Amino acid sequence: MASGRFRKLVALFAALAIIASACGGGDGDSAATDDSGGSSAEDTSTGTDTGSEEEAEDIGADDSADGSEIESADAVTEIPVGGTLRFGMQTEAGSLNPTNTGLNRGPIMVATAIFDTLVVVDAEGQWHNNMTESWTPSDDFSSWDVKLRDGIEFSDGLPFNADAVIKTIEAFLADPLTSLVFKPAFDPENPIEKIDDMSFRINAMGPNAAMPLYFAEQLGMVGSPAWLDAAAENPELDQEPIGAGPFVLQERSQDSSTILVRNENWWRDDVEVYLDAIEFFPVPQPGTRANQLIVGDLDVIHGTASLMILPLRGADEDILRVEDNSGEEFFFAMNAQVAPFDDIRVRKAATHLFPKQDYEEFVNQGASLLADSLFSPESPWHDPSIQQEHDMPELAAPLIAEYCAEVPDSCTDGKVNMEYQYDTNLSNDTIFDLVSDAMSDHFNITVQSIPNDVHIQEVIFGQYNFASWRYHGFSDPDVDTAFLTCSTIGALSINWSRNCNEERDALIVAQRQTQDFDERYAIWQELQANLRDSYQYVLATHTNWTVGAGANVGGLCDAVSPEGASLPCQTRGVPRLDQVFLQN
Amino acid sequence: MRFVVRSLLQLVLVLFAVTFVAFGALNYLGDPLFNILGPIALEESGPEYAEVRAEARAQFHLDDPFPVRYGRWVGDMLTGDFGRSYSNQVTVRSILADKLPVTVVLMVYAQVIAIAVSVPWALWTASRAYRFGDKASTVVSFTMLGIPVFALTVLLFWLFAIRWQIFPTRYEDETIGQRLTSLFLPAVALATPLIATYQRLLRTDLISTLQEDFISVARAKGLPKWYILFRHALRPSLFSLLTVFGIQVASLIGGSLVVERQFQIPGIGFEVVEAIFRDDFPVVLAVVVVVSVAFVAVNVLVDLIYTFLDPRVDFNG
Repeated sequence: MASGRFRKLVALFAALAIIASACGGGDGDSAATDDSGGSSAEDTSTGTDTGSEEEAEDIGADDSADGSEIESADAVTEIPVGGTLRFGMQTEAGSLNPTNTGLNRGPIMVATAIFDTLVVVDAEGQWHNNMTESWTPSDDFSSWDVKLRDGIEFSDGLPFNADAVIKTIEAFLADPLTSLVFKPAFDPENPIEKIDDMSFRINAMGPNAAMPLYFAEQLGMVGSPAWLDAAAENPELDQEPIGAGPFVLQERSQDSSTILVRNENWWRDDVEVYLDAIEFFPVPQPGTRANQLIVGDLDVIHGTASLMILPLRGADEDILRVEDNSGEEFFFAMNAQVAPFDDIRVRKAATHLFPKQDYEEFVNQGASLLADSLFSPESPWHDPSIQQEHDMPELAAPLIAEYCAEVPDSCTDGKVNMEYQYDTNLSNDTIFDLVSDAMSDHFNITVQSIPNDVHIQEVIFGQYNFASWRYHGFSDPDVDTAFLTCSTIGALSINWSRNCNEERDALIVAQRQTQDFDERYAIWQELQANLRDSYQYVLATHTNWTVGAGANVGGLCDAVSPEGASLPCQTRGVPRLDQVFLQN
Repeated sequence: MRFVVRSLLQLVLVLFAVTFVAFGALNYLGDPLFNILGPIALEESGPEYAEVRAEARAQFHLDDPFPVRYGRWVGDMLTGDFGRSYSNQVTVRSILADKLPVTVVLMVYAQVIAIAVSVPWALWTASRAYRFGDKASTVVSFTMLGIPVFALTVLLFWLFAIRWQIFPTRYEDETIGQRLTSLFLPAVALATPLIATYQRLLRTDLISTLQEDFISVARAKGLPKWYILFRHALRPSLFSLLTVFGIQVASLIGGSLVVERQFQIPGIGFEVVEAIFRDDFPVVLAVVVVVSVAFVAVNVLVDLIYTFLDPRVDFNG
């Protein structure tokens, strides 16, 4: 009798297993792609060479289960057209209107596919014309005459012309938040003026040899004038952007998915868009994102967390992984305008206490390069002599004692009172535990774990003491200087640490007036030393933006500019998707 | 009729209490203007934004007294106007229309699984009360009750979606089959504590019913055991289960906050978590209202089913 029951139970489990297996989606990928990019670019730009590097690794690309040789993307004679790419993004956007919101890397990728950009940047950091035909600077680089490419239309049929570009840039500069980043680069009286239907002039705030690079991302995204007008009246239309990019928005449900379909009238006639559609999913948990790629429920993902990068490195599937350590630093900004970090002794003490070794061991785990300056060792701007002291609690103790003796109001029980602010997520929680533990002998720490958008707002307003932050890292460092100058400190400030240094300002102006790399490098060496000695950031890592793609994805590194320059597989987590294709 | 009127009054009272507390809390915990405008809502951002601030205050009636604002919000809500999301300016009604059906399907799915498993299980254990199978079932059901939904969610996700890849790791909705497959694990995670709860309650009531005289008569008439269980014992034993069934709607919604996030299900649970993180109060308020209405409505429905199960029950009496 008992054995009969047992047989029934086994039969039940077997039946359930069969049903479950039939319902589940197997991962039947067999083909792999070996994407290789980085062929030398045709030099049509006036940009400087910053040589950002990427590491593309096709794990196990030469192995296949059946022993057959796996073709590389280059060897595929006929690229398959069609299919829907499923992309797992790190973050979602509230708005997809680039003129009125600070887009982070996930949304900027969606926006790039919809709008395209005026210029593009190659793997060496040089800019190239994209939707523009030429950029002609004045003798002193204080103004640039820009000619637009003919024959481009927005997906609503309106012409792409100087009026459209001027309208977009004016909208950027009129927005109280987005203008914070870009406004300092422009002449406040007359930032842009029309020359003719297809040409306009940009007037810079003083000489600016790197001006075209400003238009390689968000500022270079031009919206249809009709859509911009409509969105100004009805903010709901910020969710339905219209541009002239390779893809057109079909459907969007915030926090759920954003579906783009191929723009059949894309202006590029030298290349074909292979995908029928792209579906973007916000997947905030990095581990989940990695797992969804590995099991084949997503085709491409991007992100920066070690919880995503390390599983991809360890994946035994044919996962293409492209790592980019060249951009963005993860650091802790210290507000130099508010006690206690208005005192350099406290900033020095916090820097000395930073447990970089433990951070590497327990948080980073080799996922990213540790940072001592704003430039990673892969950057040509890197100066190996610039080092930031860390793991030196013995140096912190006398500084704190001296400070508390002088400013007892900011201390309790011989420790400095401070607030540690970060945006809520699992990685930042772990980092907080580690850093606060290392600092707790000398600081009374109040934690403020808040949503990302509130965190950004409070840092911009200077409503913080010590905040985890990630910024800088553009291919040319001049584009990032707005975050370092005295002129950008105000009620709303993008000089995050609100640290004004006139000597630094003079150096920034000096490097902007020349295109000679050696001359600029020498100035940037001084700038890096200046930054180190002002103790405004506790630097942790050079962010490793990693893009992972399944074996069924090809063409990730095949994008080229209209002038034939090879474009990088990704730029800080943003791959260009117009040349991507799916293999069965 | 009296029962319907009383139920409606109950609904109005619950809604008033819930919305008043929620509206008050969300208006006084933080600055609504900041949530709408961001940093430029603050005076410190400078006089150049004073006009924008004044316009927003007028548009959202932020200078009106609290009761007036509450009254206006309730009036709008009654016409189906929940306002717009602070985050993306989309109407909250369209967000609800988009997300709510997914969550409803998930909850119904969980309840179906819970009933489908717990009722036969309870019948089986009640018919073998205090024997080995029943005692083993007690251990299993208490284990199921003891595992928190969030832990079970992660465990199921890792085992069945990642490790064995039997189920997808994310929600797919192109076909009904895909929906049911991708919602299966989340539904099981939600249903597991329900299965144990329902099984325990029904088993106890069944054991009690099986000792009634009319069951002895049925046995004496030589009716088959399964017939007695289904035809005579089950119906009068369902009261406790039904009561808990109604109450569990609230816990299912609570569980959906965790489950939907883990499985990336674009339902109301996922949305409300994101809305809370973004201080998107119109969305949070609308969800509170919907959940309250659903809770009261389901419990009224449960009361009506009592009268079907036992005609002696008369709520009008």
